[in-house]
Amino acid sequence: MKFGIFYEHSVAKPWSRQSELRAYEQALEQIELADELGFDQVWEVEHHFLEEYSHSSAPEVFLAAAAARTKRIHIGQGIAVCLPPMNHPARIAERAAALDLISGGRLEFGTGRSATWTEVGAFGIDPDSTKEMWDEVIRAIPKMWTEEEFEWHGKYFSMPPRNVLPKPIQEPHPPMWVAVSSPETAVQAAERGIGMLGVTLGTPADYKRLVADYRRIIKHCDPVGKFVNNQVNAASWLYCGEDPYEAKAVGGAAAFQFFQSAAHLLGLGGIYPSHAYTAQANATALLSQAEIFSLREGFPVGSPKEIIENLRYWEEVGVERVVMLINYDQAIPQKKVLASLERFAKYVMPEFTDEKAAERREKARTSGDRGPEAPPMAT
Amino acid sequence: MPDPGRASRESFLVKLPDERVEYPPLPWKCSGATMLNVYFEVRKEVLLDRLPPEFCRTSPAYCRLFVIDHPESPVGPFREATLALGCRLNMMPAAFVAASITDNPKTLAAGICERGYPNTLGGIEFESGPSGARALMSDAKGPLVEVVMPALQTIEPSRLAYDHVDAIKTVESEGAARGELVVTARELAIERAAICKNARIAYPDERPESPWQILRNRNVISAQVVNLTRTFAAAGAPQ
Repeated sequence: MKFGIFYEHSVAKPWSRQSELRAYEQALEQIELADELGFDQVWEVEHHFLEEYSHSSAPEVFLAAAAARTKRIHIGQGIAVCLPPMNHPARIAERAAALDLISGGRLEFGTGRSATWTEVGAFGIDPDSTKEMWDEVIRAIPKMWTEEEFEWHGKYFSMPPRNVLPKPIQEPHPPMWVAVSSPETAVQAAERGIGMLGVTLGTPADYKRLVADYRRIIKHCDPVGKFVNNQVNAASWLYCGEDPYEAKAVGGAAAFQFFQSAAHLLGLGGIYPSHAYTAQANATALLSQAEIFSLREGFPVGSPKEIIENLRYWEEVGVERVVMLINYDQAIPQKKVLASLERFAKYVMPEFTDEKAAERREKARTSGDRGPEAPPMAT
Repeated sequence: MPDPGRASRESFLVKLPDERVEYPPLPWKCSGATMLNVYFEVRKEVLLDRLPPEFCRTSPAYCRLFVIDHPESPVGPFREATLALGCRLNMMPAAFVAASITDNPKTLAAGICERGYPNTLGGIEFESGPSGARALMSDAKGPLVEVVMPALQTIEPSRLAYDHVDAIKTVESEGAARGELVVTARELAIERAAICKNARIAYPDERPESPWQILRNRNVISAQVVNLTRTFAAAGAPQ
């Protein structure tokens, strides 16, 4: 199992002229270190107008800076909002290809469609149409990347023959993903042969069914791109502390602030009855306060030993990678964030190499030990 | 974020009736009811001024306006219109009543004494048919707000979910009035539903002192017409 980090660029009030700059600079310093330590992906969201929660409306720009400062870590655009009234599909393809060039072929291309009224309403987009828009755009973009004369006449956008430039450096094109927060989207990802980019900070039990459905269906997929990207990323929160108490006090408090901020966003499902958002009947309250303070199973917040135990649940579920938030604005001082990454790389990562995982599987096979059971599904 | 409300409970106190108005015991089962419901964005500062500090605003700030026509009830036909502030209580979605009127004195008495809303007598014009719906709310001084929903599209009732409604109920003890936070939930059993994608909210007369106009629409989010059975029940304490 591999590990990545991801960014919302949260900026808590009170704001100064320096607040956003500091968030961006600290993130870049963290990414440089993560690259050296062996984290294999960094993702950044695209959100608009979500004050405090996410000041990350131009991920390609930020990720270009990250690419320039790193050598190995893959650069995840997570996600590009694939809604033509918000981003013209040709502009998405152009910017992503440029990022693939700048990063030397390290782009991971995430797609999605927004889940808040703040964003969709601001661009005058009918929430009922976002899923269809996304589906049309993700079929067009691989063609833009690989065809010299691209032409499109769809329901949501049209363009005459043009050569969309530049072309990405990766052959045939960068791996494609979709942000998944519902069982329906996990199935749709599999049907289209693209990676499942879990964006719900849930437990291994929450993901278990989604991953099983994804793996079953992707075997028979009709890929929208030129190849199948059969990978699952889970999302979680990381703070690798000096000891269990310090970890929960520091990492738990930061996680709580993040969830508190998320809980006040206006999710679409609760206020706009739409077949396109039925699974998110309230995208607002992600976890209860009690759940956050108790840090549910699978949350890599704790001492290295506790984190290893928690990550084994994810290994059992069968995800390729856990991608983790590592701070909420400056709730955790930068020095502590960097130290947390270093402790994680030194004590936790080595336990999840392919060799170690194979040893564990072999041991389980011979002893009949099935490994840790994923905790029961939350109700 | 979260930004807590700034209104005191005292600002929601209402004058209790001098003489007791008799009404049948709650709950009242009201079948054949029709509700017009509209969500719309409002200015956040205006919303925070009318929200008690237990609650926090959402981003963006929004209101829910619902008008229910009850052709049948234990007190006869009555209508109710409520303007509620979209908010969070302990991080969970809620709606807090900023203003609420009814056209029935017995419903008014039950509302004030047992639920915190409706708490004002007013007039409600209400029309609803297969192709559209409209409601006009007024108080003693004249029209307050009009909601128009043309071109309805049928949807599955299961797509709809309404958050619990919180209000301040005026209670008297030892001769002094105080505000008590109460909640009503699970009152609506939805039978049929339609959405309107071009609903309009209009303000026929300028009434700058009225919460119905202070919490003015800045952008309609969504609108629905719903056929339902309502259980008009006494409010309880928030969970």
